[in-house]
Amino acid sequence: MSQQQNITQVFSDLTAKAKAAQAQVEMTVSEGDKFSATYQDRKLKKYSSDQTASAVVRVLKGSGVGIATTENLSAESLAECFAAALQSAKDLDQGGEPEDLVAPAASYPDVKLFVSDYEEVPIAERLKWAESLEQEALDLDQRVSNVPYSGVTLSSGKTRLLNSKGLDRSYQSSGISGYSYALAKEGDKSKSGYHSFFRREAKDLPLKETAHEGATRALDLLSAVQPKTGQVPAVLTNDVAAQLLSILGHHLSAKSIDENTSMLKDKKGSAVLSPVLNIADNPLASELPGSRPFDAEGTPSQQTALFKDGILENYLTNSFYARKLGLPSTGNAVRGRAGMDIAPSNLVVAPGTKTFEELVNMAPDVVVITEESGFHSGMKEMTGDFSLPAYGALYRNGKKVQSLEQFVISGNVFELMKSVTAASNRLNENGGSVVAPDLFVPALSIAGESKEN
Amino acid sequence: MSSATAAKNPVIAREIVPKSWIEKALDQALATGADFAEVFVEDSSSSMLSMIDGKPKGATVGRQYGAGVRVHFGLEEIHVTTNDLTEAGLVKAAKKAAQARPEGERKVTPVKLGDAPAKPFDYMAHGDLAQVADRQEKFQFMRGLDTAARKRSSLVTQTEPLMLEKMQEVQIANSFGVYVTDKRTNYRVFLEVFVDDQGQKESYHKNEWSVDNPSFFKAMDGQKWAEQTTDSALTLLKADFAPAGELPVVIDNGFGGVIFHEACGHGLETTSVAHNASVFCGKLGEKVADSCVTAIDDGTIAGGWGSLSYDDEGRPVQKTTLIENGILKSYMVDQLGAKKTGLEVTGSGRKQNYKFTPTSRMRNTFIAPGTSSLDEMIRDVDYGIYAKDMGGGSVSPGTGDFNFSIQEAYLIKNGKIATPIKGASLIGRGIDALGKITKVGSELKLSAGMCGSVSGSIPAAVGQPPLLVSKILVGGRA
Repeated sequence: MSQQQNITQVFSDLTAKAKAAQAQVEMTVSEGDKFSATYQDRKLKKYSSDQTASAVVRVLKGSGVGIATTENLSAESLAECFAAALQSAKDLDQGGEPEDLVAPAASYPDVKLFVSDYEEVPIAERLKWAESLEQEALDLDQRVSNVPYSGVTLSSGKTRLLNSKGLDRSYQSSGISGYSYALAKEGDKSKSGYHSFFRREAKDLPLKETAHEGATRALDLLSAVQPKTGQVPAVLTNDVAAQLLSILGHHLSAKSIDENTSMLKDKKGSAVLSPVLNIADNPLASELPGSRPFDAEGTPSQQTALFKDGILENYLTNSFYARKLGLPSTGNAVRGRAGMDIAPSNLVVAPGTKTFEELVNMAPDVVVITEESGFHSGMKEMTGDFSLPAYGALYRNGKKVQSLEQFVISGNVFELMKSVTAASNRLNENGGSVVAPDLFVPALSIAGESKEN
Repeated sequence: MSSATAAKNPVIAREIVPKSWIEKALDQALATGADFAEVFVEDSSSSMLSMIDGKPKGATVGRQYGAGVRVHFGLEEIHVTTNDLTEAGLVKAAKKAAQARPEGERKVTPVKLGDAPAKPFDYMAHGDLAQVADRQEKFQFMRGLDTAARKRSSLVTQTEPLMLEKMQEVQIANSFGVYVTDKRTNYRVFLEVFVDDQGQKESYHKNEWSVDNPSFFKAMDGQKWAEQTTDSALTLLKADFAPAGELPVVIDNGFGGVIFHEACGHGLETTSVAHNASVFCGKLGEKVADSCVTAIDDGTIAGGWGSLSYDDEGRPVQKTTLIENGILKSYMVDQLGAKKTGLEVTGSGRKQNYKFTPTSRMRNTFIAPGTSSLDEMIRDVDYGIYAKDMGGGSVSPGTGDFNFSIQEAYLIKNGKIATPIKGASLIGRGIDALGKITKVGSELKLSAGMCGSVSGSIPAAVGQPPLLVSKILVGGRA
């Protein structure tokens, strides 16, 4: 019996057990292959080959939802998962809003996520890609002393979702990602720079561009100085803007609204952000990593307008919260660690009309923020308050005059995004699932050299 | 911090797969000329309970089940993972690893594996994974946290109690004849309290933990803990934004140790040192800190959050003095790091699970106690910051640039603790920041954290007595 037939049979058994227990059951099975390689000092450092398999069994009984996961796809292990999930569902069934599964839909969008399982790409070719992510950085400039971290990863896999309402859908996906983190040294100065990419197709990979971008960022910082403390006109480059905007995911979730942990509660129809910002959730763009034809519950994917000219138009929902709050279903269910959660697929900010060069000319002196770090500790997602170490450059009359380091940008994401006055036509290409243009803000708080120095 | 109870009975953890299968896999892995092979088998289970609005919301259990076969051809590392823990599955993964260099001939015959020894030390006890056994009792405890927080203040709008349990069983064998089985457990309870005062929102979170007692929460004073967490959230409502600029900072004990973890710890791992990607490269025997600073990474602390019997390369862990009276004494060294640098291994090879290869990582890392008091340090500061509780941080070992955030902090004015402040990262550069630690307190405390790096997320404790840092950049609002 093939693995697929085996899963079908096992799930049929679980459905019967669920019915006997007056419960519903859903199972997601993911199987895939991953290959990664990295070079160091122009020699192969490591390559990994991973075969992965996992199943998530979700059991619904009344208002209770139990979840159990396993990497052992034997019938015995899956039955154990079901039993554990059923027990959890019973423990949590305390008379609240009833849970329900998603019924099969009439149609699902066709999103091309699978190009190849990459078995056709010879190992030697894959290693050459990994090699170039180090080599191109080292060869760019002799001040690039080493590339401590770089590498390429090829992955392909299949996701199959079955539920006791008769849903049985699957999709394949594949992707190639790469990154290069270079160190540049001059005298006793040591600076780093990073860049990454994501592609579906194994052709025209931006290997050289990625390595050069990481190395160039490191080289630029060799001459960096600490800026003075103060409020300055600033451009958040698209990478930085995308990172800051990523916290919107939590606040747009109908679950966060219901649980009273969102800053966007009761703000629908309000001008929350700058009129320059138009933001949508887009799970249908095959080139982006968060795309899929249906969400974690099987709801067909769709594009959802979130902010139009800065005005909050929609929250993101899964089936439960759409029902509970009477909101449109947006198909944004994801499996979180505490159960079925809600998150954006790809958060996409529409590009503006200005060029980057026009943005840096919007004030005589403009600080361009090219990189932030420490996001997980310096960003308070629940409130949007942030204090983040940053790197960048001072532009005077539109020309770059000085690289900057050893400073901290701080503020509140919501206030900052309301103050945006212009967006560029240039979107970030770092392989992430948040896409944004460069943004100009008239005043950004910078902590650096003390004013009196 | 948890109670740390030492084990009374050293144990032999179970064999997940028969030893003979591992021997066959090791033999296959070495067939094409690898000079080292290792098999790491894992069967782990985890459980999570969550609550919202004072009601049980989530109950999840999970199982990780797989193996990693690692081979070395010189300094090249090949790693193949599989979820197929049959004899055929393990041998197939081993052959795949060997085929990375198909042209070679066997150089090494694996040593016959002996019996897995009993844990050689008694400092790590292990409870079992309770999972659903006392679930209702846990929900009752969590409900008590919610009640206590809401009773403390009418400004509390939400609470999120969470309980996590993890049990990792491993079987580690290599071609040198190392063969161990191990069981590692940890248990955590988290609480986040949300407050809202006329539209101004804040939240605060705390966690408690144990590595050996699934019922540790029963010994906690949950009401007091929830009240303290609520008070900290309420303090943030009254807090001004931190000032911006370079200031003296008194960092309290416990999680304050994140400053050493980020500023220096990662830069002392051979993961970066072996590739000349650390500002601490070539500085063994040199003065890198004020003589008041002694720093230790110790995997042998009884009940320590980052303690282990064996590291993830099957070696007994040890206590490693990194810096002694300001002089750099040792790095943290894993097996491949030892091969690259010529240094002795320190039992520091760690990884999240079988999907990763081990690299040198921290265990329980702390600055040893000095002689100063917290009061004395605060009296020394005319205008600065007292950082009572810290958030996380990060570092770029190659540049030494590090950062960490303050969770609860106060201005110091004229030698006295003044008003609360919020929202700031502190940044600096490794060696430079070490040199600015001018006073070390006497009361050492360790705190639990999760450390992320190339070999995944692992439990690692940080700690220190209170410290006075003469000057550090505070990323407050200008």
